[in-house]
This record gives sequence, structure tokens and C-alpha cells, in this order.
Amino acid sequence: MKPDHSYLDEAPCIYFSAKDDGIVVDVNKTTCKILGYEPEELLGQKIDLIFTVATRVFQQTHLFPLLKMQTTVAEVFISLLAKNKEQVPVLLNAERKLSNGSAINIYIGIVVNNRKKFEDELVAAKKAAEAALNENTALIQAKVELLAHAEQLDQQISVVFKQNEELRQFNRVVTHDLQEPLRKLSIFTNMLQDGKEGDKDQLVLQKIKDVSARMRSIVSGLQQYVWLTESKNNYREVQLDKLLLLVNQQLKKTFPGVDLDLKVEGVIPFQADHDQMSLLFYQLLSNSIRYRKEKIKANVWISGTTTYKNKYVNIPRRYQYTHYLKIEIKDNGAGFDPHYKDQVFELFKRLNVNSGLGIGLSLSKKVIENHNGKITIDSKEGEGTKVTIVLPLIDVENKQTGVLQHSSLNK
Amino acid sequence: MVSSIATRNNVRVYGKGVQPIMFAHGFGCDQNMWRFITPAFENDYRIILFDYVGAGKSDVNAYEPERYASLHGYVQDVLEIIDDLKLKDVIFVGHSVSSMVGVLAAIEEPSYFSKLILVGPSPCYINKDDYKGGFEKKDIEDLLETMEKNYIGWANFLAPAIMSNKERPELGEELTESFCSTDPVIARQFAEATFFSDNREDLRKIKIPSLILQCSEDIIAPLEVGEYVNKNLANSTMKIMKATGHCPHMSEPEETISLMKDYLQNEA
Repeated sequence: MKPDHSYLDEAPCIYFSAKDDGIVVDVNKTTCKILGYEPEELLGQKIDLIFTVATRVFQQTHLFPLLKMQTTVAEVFISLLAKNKEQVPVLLNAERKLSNGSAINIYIGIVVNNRKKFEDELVAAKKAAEAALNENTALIQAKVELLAHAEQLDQQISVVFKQNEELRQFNRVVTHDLQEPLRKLSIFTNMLQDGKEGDKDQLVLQKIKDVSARMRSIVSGLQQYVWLTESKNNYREVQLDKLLLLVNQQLKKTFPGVDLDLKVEGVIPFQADHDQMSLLFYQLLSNSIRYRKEKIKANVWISGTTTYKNKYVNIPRRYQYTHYLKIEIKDNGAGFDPHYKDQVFELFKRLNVNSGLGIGLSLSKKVIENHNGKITIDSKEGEGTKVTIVLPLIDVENKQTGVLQHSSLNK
Repeated sequence: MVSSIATRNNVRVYGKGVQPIMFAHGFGCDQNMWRFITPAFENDYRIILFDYVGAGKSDVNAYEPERYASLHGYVQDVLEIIDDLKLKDVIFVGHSVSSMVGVLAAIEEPSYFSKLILVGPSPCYINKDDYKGGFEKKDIEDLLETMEKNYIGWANFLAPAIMSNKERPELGEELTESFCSTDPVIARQFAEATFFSDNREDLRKIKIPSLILQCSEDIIAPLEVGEYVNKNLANSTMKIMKATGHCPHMSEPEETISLMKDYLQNEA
């Protein structure tokens, strides 16, 4: 049944109505004339026929949701598509009516050719003003410098935080980790001096040797740590599987007769300091071997994926999303109480007094920090350990300066 | 106490269930668009609704053009909300562009999500080489122009300077009356971030199971695109809906609900 709209047919306005599925139910003669169609060509057809692509998208993302929820939309600018493919600018009001349980969307509009010209000029003027602003070379220069400074500042803040933390840890090493063996040495030498030990002299001497050996390894650990602090990254392409072959040879020397089952997937080649990365993986895999479960072969799964992160970590309200490489190193070892997951990165903090020096993860953290990355550890007793490393992906051209690769999405 | 993130993103949490299900609105609207769907999940799930910064009743003052220049800012909104609520294994339901926001978020923090339900997803809207996204660059530029023209019309009451005018709160009142109100400058930037995005490579990084709800005759996410997503997203199931258009959760809520429920039951 066709609604009576004879008065609307000739009215000087755009009028059409359509169902939710976009089928045109009604259209007046004025609209047909403007668009160059006969009414029969539009009735029962999809409304998309008279919508430009942009209007179709706008209809789906704005008009339809608004009509569905608030049943009325006012003063919307769209373009209709005439039969000869010309665009007709229209200012539209729309309303949604329910009759007999089905919805009809009614559109009324006026053609705004002149208004469009005026608005085009407004938009053009606005764009010209924006372009002028953007092309202002002094401004561009200042902006570039500002960005460079912001990036530098952000990294410097990180360095200061790190240095404070290191200072605190060094202080602890000097006042505790080194004092303790010194105190022992003094006791043992006193014992020898007193000469009361008799036949235990050899035993005491052995203890002095052990304690000095531990002191020596603490000092050499510290030296390695300081060396890492001061060393400059020598960026080159790291192919993890090749690097791991070398690391595996080292591990075989350190842990003779111990087998390690290693699986690697999805780690793309990345720019980093090769020696430092070898050290990092040597330390992490050593831990997986050292803390493996009894009578079970150590399994390690390494997987990689690229992700995006905000480059700025310290300065608030600054954002630049760049590509990062995330590497997960998971083992089937003994694991540890997750309560200690931050402490394990501290210098000479050992959860197990009987093995290791407690510097492996400190060195690993240092390596990652040298690459402006992040390292975290997750573990559960009896359920293995997972180390997650996130490294910014560095542009090959910029590897000397360490400038981060810009995300292709940041236009 | 309501956290700053809850206020910023107008986060609403309710429902009688335990399993969290988070609904993310698409470009052009706000959390209201889910209101035909959410009642069906209230009894069995914990529902999380929110508005992206710049949309709906979010805090417009928190909008940072740098942050929201790409989808990553929106991804960060989602991750921060989940982190703020201390959730894990969330079922994420994303409409349109939010499908890709969900995909990117799940790459970033896999443990936050258990399943993705993608309503009308498209990893890339523009045709590129052999890939058919459905749009030419010109179409998107036309769309941006439509948006631009519309904000000349809306500017009277929607300009951001006026929106944050504390001396004239009645202007804010007017806005809260209107659904899906979006600051026009923000809407334009959201349109750019959405329609110029290309996340085809990211699909392959997802391992958690996902459901693709593909409408028939969807101009924004055509069938071919849905098939592309299905092919490149491991563990994905695609359902082609009777619903037409791009908003099945509004035009055909019953069909949408039943497909979602079927999937959630069978996948459980």
C-alpha cells in the first residue's frame, strides 16, 4: 500500500523513506528529478543506489545507529549520488517511525549547493591556514628540536632512575656482600694467629681460600656489571638461532654432560649488540639449567612477536607508538615464589644460597636497559619460569644513534 | 572509590556472573550501541562497558591527539581499563574498528583475554595490491570531507572549547542528552586512525580463539574481508549473518545474541 503523499510529491524538498535493510519504500518526484531517476527506478531498490560511498559509510556508522537509538537526527550533511554520478550536497533531517512492527526511516532534506560552495571555501581556508602553520619552517624546526629534546629527556630520566637504583644496590654490596666475607676472613686469620686450632689449621686455611674466592667472584661480577654500564652498544643484526648455537657451546663447557632442549620460533632478526645479547641468553639459559627440576631434562621455549608500545616511558602525555620485539623465554624448571620476582634482578640477591653468584639476572637487566628495553620475570614454584623481554626495534639506518623505528601507523 | 580510568572512559561494570565480557563500541557511536545485546548476558556474565576517550560520556579533556593518532591509543584505553579492574581471561566483543583494537590488545597482553568476538572486522579498509579492502583512498577522503562538513554544522554546540567550558555547564547538559555524541575534531581523527589503518600482519600473531560475525551486504566490512580475517586469524570461526549492514547488534540483536551464545557454549 502506497502512503498518500501527493502534497509531498511536488514539494521543494528531498523526501524519501527506507526500511532498516535499506530498501526504498517511498520517494517524491522532486528527489527523482534532482537525481535524474524515474520513481520506479528507485522504489524497492537499495538506498545505496543514491548514496555516495562516503554517505554509505556515514549512514552505517552514524545515521543508522543514531536513528535506532534516539529515533531522530537533525542537520546532517551528506552527498547523494545522481544517476549521472554527480554528487548532490544535501542537508538532511531524519526520523524513524514504527508502524505494524516494522521500522521506516524517513528522510527530509534540502539541496545546499551554495552552502556547500561556501563551506568548501571555509574548509579550504581552514586547510590553508593549517598548511601555512605546518609549513612554517621556524616552527617545524622548533618542533623537531622539541621532540628530540623530549626523547632525550625521557631517556635521561630513565638513566637517572637506573643510576639511583644502582647506587643503592652498590651500597648494599659494599656494606653487606663484601663486608660479610671480610668479617669471616678476619675471624679465620685471628684463629690462625691465636694458634689454638692445632690440627685444624689446614681446614681454616681452606676456608680462607673459599671466602677469598667468593670475594674475587663478587668483585669480578661487579667489574662485569660496571663494564656493561660503560660499554657503548655496537648495533648489528642479531639472528637469534645463530647466536644461540654459540651460546649453547659455551653452556656445554660450563655444564658438561647436561642436555638442554631448546625450541625457538617467531623471533625476527633484530638490531642489537651481539656480545651483550650472547651474555644475556647465556645467563638466562644457565638459570634454566641450574634450576631445572631433578631428573627432568631442561626444556626452554623461546618465542617472539612484534608489538607496539609508546616510546615515552617517563614524560606524561607524550605518545609515539613504535615497533617493539617481545621475546618470551619459558622453561620447565623448578620455578620460584613469584613474591621475589623483582628482587631477583638485584645484584647478588640469591634465592638459593647454594648455587650461582646472584648476578646473572642483574647482568641480563643491564643488557636490556642498555637497549632501552624492559625485562620481567614470572614464576611459580614447581611450574617453571618465564622471562619476558621487550626491545625497541631499531631502524638499520639509525642504529648508530639508537633512534627508534617509527610505526607505519603513525602517519 | 571510582578510579581515574573508570571516570575517564565512563566504565560501567555490572551483571550477576563471574566471567568478564567486555563490549567495545566502534567508530561513530558509544557504549549505548550495545544496549540491545547486554541484557541477554546480564545473568551469566560480568559486563564491562566503556566509551573510548573522545566518545560518549568519556572525559574529553583526557583526549591527547598524539595518543589517539593511531589505533594504539585506543588499544591502550582497553588495556588500562582491564588492568584497572584487575581482570584476566576477558571475553572481548569488539564492533567494527574495535575488532582490530581487540586483536592488537590481545597481542600486547595475551593473558588479559580468553576469546575475541569480532563484529564486522576489517584489518585494512583500503584496497592494496591484491588485497580488496572495499575502499579506494578517494572514498575515505570523501568520508573525511563529510565528517568535516558535519562539524561545521555541529560546531555551534559540539566544539571542544565549548564542551569543556566550565562557566556554561548547560552546554554539557545538552550533550549528555544526545546519544553517540562525539567531539567532531576527535571523530575526524578517529575516522583517520580507523580507515587508514593496516593491521593485516597483526592477525597472524593471535592464537586465542575468536568468532567473526560477518554481515551480508556490509559496505564497511565486505564478505571478502571477513574471509581474509578468517583465513589469517588462527582458531577463528566465521558466521555469516542474515543481518545486513554494518551494525547487526543494533539491526538484528536476536541473531547476534544467539550466534554469540552458541559460540561461547561450544567453545567453553
